[in-house]
Amino acid sequence: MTDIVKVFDWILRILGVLGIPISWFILKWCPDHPEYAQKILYYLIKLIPFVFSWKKRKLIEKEIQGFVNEEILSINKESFGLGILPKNLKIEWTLKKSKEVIINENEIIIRLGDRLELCENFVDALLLYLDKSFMPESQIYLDPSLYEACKYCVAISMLRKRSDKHYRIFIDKYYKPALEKNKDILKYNEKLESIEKNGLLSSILLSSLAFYSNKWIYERKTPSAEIQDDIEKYIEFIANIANKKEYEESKGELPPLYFTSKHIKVNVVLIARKELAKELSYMPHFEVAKDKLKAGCDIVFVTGRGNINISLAEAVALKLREEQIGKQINGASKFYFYTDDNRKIEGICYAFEKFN
Amino acid sequence: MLPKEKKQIRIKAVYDTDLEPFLEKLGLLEDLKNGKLKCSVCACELSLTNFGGVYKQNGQLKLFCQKSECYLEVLKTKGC
Repeated sequence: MTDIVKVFDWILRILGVLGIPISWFILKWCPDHPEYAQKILYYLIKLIPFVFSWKKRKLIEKEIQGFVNEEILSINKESFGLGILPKNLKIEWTLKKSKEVIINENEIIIRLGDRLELCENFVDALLLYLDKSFMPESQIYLDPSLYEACKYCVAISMLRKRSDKHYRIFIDKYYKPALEKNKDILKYNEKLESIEKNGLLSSILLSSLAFYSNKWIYERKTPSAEIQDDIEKYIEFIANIANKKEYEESKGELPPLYFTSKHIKVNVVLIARKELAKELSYMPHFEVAKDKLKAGCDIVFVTGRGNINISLAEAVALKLREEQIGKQINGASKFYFYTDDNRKIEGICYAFEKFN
Repeated sequence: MLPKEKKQIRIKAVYDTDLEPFLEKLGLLEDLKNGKLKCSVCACELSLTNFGGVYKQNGQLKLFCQKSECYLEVLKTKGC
């Protein structure tokens, strides 16, 4: 309501300034020049739908670009800037009156606008963006179904902050049909979902896959069944950490925190031991991180959830930096995860790589 | 010197109200209005209401409808 009053007030002020020339134009000039007045009126009427469609177009553009780019920034921060989503999104409207329509080979032009479900605009653009930009370096080393599953999982994580409607439409209209067509995605689906829910998707899993892909490309390693096998086992390893409670209940012990295979060597320092948190002691965690980095582990992740564990993780990272035991990969990754009773808990993760 | 790598993915889109002039420029409007064009995935008859988009493959323009399955299939098979 206040907006309407403001607009009205604004119009009155403009009329106050422009009142005399406008009145002269309407009352004197137009009746004197009816042939021009008709033309002007015709163009003014034509302008109305154009202004409305321009406004709607801008709204769609702003909604998609603004939200997706914000999420890209947040995912890249969570994954230590290792190139999970290396490019931003820009919506480019094809038709400008002076230009010809040029479609390049392998280029899609999608229709956006007043659909029955407006969320479909968003989901269409998001999927096309992920298709073009998601982990470009890693694609060659990942099993195609795993790559697809990771991509959908990132889309789901991006849609968590959108309305229920966006999420429902994505699941019903896009995700389910994709699963039906490619049953292999299902194989990874559950594990990735629990990894994502526990905040370990961008901070540990995808960041380490991006790290290794860059490393393998640099070392000119050809994609092989052996690498794919290592990646599968690595996903299982991260999923066990994500489902720590269930793992402990079924196996009666903590899940392994050190993964070593021919191509992947990662250690996760999980700051979650109650007895150490009570004593505010970070030294045992620091010792583990130090030993693993010295023993040739490629990456050591130091991660903690909740206030006490976050400060302990910070202390371990600080000590590792001070003693120059490993090279920290960019800043800290902050993430959130939700407990079974839907409590939002903050977590932090640091990544250190061994010195070459 | 090599050109700087673009840091943006540009997604080309056509807005509803621009659809007719867009298709006209591609020389497809009349055929679409006469029901002569079909979705390249599900082969349903295309119209201005269900037109979903267009892409180029092997030099040929291909059209698809608004069904999510068809859109996913285009993304998958084209591998853009």
